[in-house]
Amino acid sequence: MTGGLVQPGLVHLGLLFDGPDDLVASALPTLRSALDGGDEILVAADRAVVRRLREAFGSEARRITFPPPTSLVRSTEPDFLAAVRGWVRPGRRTTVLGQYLPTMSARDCAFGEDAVGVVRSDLPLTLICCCRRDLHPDLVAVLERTHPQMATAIGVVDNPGHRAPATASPTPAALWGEVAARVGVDGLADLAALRRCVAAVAARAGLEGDAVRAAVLAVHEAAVLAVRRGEPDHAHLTLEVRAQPGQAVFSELTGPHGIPVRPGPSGDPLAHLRPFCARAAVHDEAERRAVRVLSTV
Amino acid sequence: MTALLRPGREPSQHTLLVSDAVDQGRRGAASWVEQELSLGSKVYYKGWLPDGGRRDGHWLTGPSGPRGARDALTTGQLEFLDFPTLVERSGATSDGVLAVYRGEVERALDELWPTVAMTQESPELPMADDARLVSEYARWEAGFDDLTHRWPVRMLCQLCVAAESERAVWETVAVHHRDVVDGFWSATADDGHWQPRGDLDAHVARRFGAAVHGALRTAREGEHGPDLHLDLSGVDFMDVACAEILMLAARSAPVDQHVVLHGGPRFLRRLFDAVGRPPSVRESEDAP
Repeated sequence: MTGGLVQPGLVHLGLLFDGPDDLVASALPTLRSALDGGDEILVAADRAVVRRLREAFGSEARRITFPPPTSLVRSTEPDFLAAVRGWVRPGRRTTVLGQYLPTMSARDCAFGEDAVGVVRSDLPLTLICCCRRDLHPDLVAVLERTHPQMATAIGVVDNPGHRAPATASPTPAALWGEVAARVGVDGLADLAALRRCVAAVAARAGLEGDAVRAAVLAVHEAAVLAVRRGEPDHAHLTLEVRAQPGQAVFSELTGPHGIPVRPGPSGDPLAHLRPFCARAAVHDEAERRAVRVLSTV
Repeated sequence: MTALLRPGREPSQHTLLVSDAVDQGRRGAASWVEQELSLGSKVYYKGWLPDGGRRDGHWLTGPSGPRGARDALTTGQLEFLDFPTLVERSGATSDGVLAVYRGEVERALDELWPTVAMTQESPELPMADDARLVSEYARWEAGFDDLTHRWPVRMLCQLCVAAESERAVWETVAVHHRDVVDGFWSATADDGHWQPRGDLDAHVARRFGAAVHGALRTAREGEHGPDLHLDLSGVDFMDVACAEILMLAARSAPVDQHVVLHGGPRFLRRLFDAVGRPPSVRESEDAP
């Protein structure tokens, strides 16, 4: 899972614990794998946890950095995401263990966790987010909802309580700043306007040549998927494009929730567009569907 | 239609104008007729008359049509023939259809018109279950090619997708792959190279597939064949659906037939590789 193993992008793990011994037992398999893989490792935990980890790893603990727990806290979500981006090291993976603090707001915490999953999932990071079971139930619920996998004493397991980020507000898309362009489309015959919109924003954001072509193709394919598989057949979609100049273009297509998205031959309905973007995801709610595409410079 | 009127485009000889809806097709056909009238051509128009069978009830030559067309009908520069009469005169055979058209061309030239422009609305031929009709249709369209090569004739065939069966759309586009204008994309053939242009996306993927099929079929029979030389330099956009159709057509071609890629951006090759490029698709020496 870490350090040159299977997943190239973000691995986002939750960890529920009762006390320091429990936390260390659940984190050890993942941290051991990270050490063996040559990851850079940050552990921002309380002193009891740090002491037990130093004991568990012995001399190898020198390869782990132990900043204070509050060092991961930021006052705004964009600052938090910038901090996450700052953990990335060229040519290697970074594993970060952090603890929820009792003073955290459940709403802000959920927003940050969703944002990491949606807009930073291309980064080579393993995040282990730890929440004590006796914290506020809303915080515990956030951890259980926002992590696709859990770190446990027997290793990483899938989290059946995980739910993809909501399409409704607050949406992590807002972290990419103001909407640079918005266009409505009514069917397949209407997609040329959508392509022109993405191309214009992508070029302004600093994408060039094939990178612009790839961004346009990925968003176009997302729209084809949303239009064709919506109900009624040619549903109205809205495209909003946001850009961070020099970094990325974030496109979000929203429309009515229709018939279930059919998986392709690989089991992934977005497999055909993934080669042309950094990240793509479908989010379904009862009434709405959103397809999000992230293209990086 | 805009592509038909684009500055710098060579005058078309035998063009298919594809439209999704009736109104869209009428706008394109009206522009073409107006242009031909302004160039001094004798125009023959064939189409469907509304109930009552009166020419002044037709959308082009009636009160709501363009002034130029109504005036030309009066002066004789424009002649209108309704489809039932055409079927009656031709017997709906290729020889019969071509005899009618040839007669019109000869009469116009005898009257010293410098050029002849001929257009017909979407014919709504029942091709779905009639292989003989498909064969006849292909033969008379080939005869139209011959007319435009031998005389100063420009031909515009109209295809309204909403009015035709899937089979008819497929056969019509395949037959006309050498000169087709369909919204944001078009295609021409020149010197053994087939060149699609513009935006090729899921909305037109089936029609694009029909044109590819027609181009492959013609290449097998042509002097430059059996390989299809595909010039991609005019393609502005191609999506996964069209790329898959192109690669599938190449994969389905006979073993001795290749699709040879010319020009176009490297990104298209990346797209072809992503959807699965078969060995029968190869690069020309001038590839990017």
